[in-house]
Amino acid sequence: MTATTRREAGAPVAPPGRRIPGEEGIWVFVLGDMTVFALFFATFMYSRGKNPDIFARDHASLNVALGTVNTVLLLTSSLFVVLGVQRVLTGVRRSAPRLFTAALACGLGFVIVKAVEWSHLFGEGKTVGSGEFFSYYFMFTGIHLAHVLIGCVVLSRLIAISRRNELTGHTAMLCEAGGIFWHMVDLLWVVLFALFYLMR
Amino acid sequence: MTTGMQKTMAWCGAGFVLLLFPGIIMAGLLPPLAPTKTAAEVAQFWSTNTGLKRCGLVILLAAAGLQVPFGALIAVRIKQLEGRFSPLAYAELIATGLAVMAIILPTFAFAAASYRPERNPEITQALNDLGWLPFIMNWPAATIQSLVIGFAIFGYRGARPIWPRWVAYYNFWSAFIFAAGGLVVLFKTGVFAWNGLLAFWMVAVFFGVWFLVMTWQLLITISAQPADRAQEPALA
Repeated sequence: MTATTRREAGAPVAPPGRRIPGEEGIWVFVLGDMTVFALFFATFMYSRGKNPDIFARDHASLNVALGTVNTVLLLTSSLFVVLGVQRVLTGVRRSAPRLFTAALACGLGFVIVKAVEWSHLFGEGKTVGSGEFFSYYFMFTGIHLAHVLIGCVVLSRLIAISRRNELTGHTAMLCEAGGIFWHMVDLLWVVLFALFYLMR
Repeated sequence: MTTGMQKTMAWCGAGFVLLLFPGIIMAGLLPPLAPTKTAAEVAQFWSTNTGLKRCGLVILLAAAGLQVPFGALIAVRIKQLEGRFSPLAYAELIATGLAVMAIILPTFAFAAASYRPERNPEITQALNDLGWLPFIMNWPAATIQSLVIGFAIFGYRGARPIWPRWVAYYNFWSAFIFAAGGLVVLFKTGVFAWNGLLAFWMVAVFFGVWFLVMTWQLLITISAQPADRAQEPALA
């Protein structure tokens, strides 16, 4: 996202290439959150290394198709967010609310697919207490789901503020910061997807 | 309100951490007793070194109280951000009260566990559970405080913000971390059990760090704003 040149007048615009996307604070959050998830992934890999057979067996009962659908949904929503933020930053923002709405729809689709997937697993008697693999699976995807829900709230805010008539530098910054959060949610899912569904 | 008094209240946050962790170590709670321990093992633990353990619990109570002045000063800063209409400041005050209880309640259960080494081990095990579960599981008090601070900073529209916006983001992140202990009742082993890497160690570290960071940030607000010129908002 390098579209810094045509922001609204009054916005403090740093020379191109030197500006921090969004604001400093969002990066405090994103890097902190990713550190925590890195710790999650490391503990998962450690436990998996100790019990490869049980992890391989339980891994087989996950539905890779639904996981793939969710990956596609989040990647698509990230694309909509990129386009929406770009519209806001370049001032061509009429379609920005629609793009954010499309991203939100994908996010809600993710939640629905996850609910379907979980109810299947619950139906098979798999819960957070069904062994190490499933406790990791439900906890990590659950914590990620909480991020998706917060992200949906953030996207609804972006829809609202990008609809406003005057678009200040502050609004543009908020859109960019919200977009960064959503990309992080997307990125974390891609890693979770690889760890739980794909890795054999 | 003198600057010195405000500084003392801010330092209470760091003081809390500096008493809490030594208290926890003295009480023998670090590293935590595994949830899988049998009643006999738990009773054995609470009936050895009782003097040191009980003194540690006394220190935990003292530490808990230090959150009060610290939380009150944060509430005043939030009120300065909010202006006259200040529901977030009140939420901060209530959450501070709950945060005190979050330490006091398990401390009493641990005190009861250590009080009669001669009793039936199963009763001691029950008291031990009654200590550990709320000690690690009770996340809302800390999470609400962090969220309230974050939203107060985000909601500020004036020209002289008390805290930089990264403090808000940092608090949102901390709010998420503190919640990681909330599910310990579901686990007896693994990283999310009450002695686990993520539910205990990660939360304990970042909980301590939060108090240090907020102490530092409160001290900055005091030096940025001499007490005699500070606009102390009228309460209520």
